[in-house]
Amino acid sequence: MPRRTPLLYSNYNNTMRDLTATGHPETDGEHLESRPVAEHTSLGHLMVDGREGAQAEQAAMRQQARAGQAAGHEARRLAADHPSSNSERQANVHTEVGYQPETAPDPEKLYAVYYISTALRTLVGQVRIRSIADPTPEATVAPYLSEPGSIRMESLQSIKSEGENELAA
Amino acid sequence: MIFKKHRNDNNFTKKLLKMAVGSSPSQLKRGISERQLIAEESKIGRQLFGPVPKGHNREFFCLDERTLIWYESWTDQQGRKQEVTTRYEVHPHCILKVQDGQPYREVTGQELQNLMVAVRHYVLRVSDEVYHYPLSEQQAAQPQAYPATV
Repeated sequence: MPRRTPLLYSNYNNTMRDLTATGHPETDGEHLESRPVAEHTSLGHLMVDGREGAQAEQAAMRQQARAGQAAGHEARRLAADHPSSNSERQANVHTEVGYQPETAPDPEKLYAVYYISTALRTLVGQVRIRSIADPTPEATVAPYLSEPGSIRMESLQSIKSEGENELAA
Repeated sequence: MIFKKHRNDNNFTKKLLKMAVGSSPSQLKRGISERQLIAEESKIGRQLFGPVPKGHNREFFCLDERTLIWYESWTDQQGRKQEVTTRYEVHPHCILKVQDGQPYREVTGQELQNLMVAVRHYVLRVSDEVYHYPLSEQQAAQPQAYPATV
């Protein structure tokens, strides 16, 4: 009897089925027991595409993060010089109630999270969704549609309109 | 007779649509073949981590604004199929890594740096090669990268 798929992930599972010829793995306990955690699936063990510039890029990103950290230190120093600032007032409150702030978050980590989050939003929220909702031949025709022998987006649009009209009728 | 002809035309249109984009009219009404776009993106994503070992099937793609998927399958020496699906979830203050049967784990350190580089290449290449809209490196990390109007 197939396992029931949580509703939350049903969409994801459907996508995986479509993307892989073999379908989505039906996970069961036995399978998991025998499954090795492949080292090659861990990004921590890999260089991206073997690019020599990857290390340099990471160093540049770290430098940016450090710059952000330095700016944060400067902001805190300025705040200390001006007791009327919000941060100072909060610090006083925390001191009075014996509040122990958690370890300051790693600026490099926060920068990486911000970068990845923003990049994905840009790709999905603007480029991909726009391509789906409002395709224009100049900017958003995917290669598989513009290859010789395939149907151009203009033709596709007319077909789509016809299909929708027929369905509406 | 008229109804029969109309039904035949309708079927022909559906077949044409399926040949063109692999989607049914109902799928098109929801949005034009996002699955196919993701599949195209994955063709680039799977190249980001070097050559795929022989006999392996790899997919790496951005599922949505907060999720990256790495899927890898291969056949082991006993002839059994092995599969690992890794999901990277982007949260406001961290990125969580989820694998089948494994607890959630925060991505940190070198792995996080590598993921950032991978996403950077992924977004830049996909925008250029799939959507024909090249982004600069600065644009890739700016929320308003895509023009408001075409």
